[in-house]
Amino acid sequence: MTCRETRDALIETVTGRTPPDLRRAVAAHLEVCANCRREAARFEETVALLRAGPDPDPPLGFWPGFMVQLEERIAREPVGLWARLRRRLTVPALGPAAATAVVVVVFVVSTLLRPALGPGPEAQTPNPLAPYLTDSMRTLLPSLEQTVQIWQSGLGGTDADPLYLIQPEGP
Amino acid sequence: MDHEDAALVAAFKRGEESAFTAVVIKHRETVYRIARRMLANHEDGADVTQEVFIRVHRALPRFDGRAQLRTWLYRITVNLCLDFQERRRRHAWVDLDEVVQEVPAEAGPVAQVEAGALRQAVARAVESLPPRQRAMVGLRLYQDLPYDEIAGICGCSEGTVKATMFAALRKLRVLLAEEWSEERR
Repeated sequence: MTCRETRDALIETVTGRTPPDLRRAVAAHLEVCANCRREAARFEETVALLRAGPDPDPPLGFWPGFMVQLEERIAREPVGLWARLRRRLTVPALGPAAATAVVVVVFVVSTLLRPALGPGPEAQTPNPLAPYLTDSMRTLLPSLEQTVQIWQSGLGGTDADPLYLIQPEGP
Repeated sequence: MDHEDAALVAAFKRGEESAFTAVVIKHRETVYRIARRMLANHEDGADVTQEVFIRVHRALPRFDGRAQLRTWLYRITVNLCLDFQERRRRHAWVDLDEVVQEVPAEAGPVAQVEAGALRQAVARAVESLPPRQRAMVGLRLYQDLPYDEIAGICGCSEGTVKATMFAALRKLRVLLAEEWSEERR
């Protein structure tokens, strides 16, 4: 490494970010060159002096006031039409409220429409087991019936009797 | 881009104003320190810091994420500081009282006086650098940024940054030697 190359590399070496191979090359040159060694020592001393002080910090309690002032200034900023629209559509605080509103509307509409649709076909054929069914059984039955039908259409449908049949209405 | 910064930028673009507050809280101290070191007093540093985040709020929806958010923020900070100094058309005003007040009170009286004098000497020496040199020295020595990032912030080549740093350190060495010997007299 020449003196010129070493002095170019010194700026990286003394300020701290040097690949190990470059650092080794600089160190090897400094061992044999008194001029570059003196230059390196001066640079190191200067950097140490410059870095000696603490980071400048603002006075205590500065940041809360800063944030308030910043918010006020941003609120006074003219906002474009597109930005205004985008903010209205995507205000996160309104997300849950909008979801709740959708659920309520769906519930109300479905409740209002149900009588207009009339009774379903199952209501027209009363189940003969009805007197024996408890409320909890009633809530389970539709899914039970569906499960049995699925089973019957699969393995159970080929060579086994159905486990559950709704009795047809007698004469 | 830093994952956290990328998530905050994306959230802000979706309209979450709180993401901007998080960006400010994360970067305000570094932005303040860069501005304070370039402008050499609290008042101007605070004003520029405020202005930086106003600009960021305006421009963040258009930020494309090709550069690091911090590089972009620091570029805005350095440019605003340069504009600020250009507008005032005078050298930065170094508040030497502020510099002395930064000496920790736990140190003994002699150490406090010496440390205060040294900081004043350093502050005066740094203040005598041209603004762009001062920016580069600050970003390298105090923010510990790599040379390629400083080049991105200052809008020049890495070689230019290194050459400028070399010249700045040589000048500072001479100035500090003079200042320090005067202080000791």
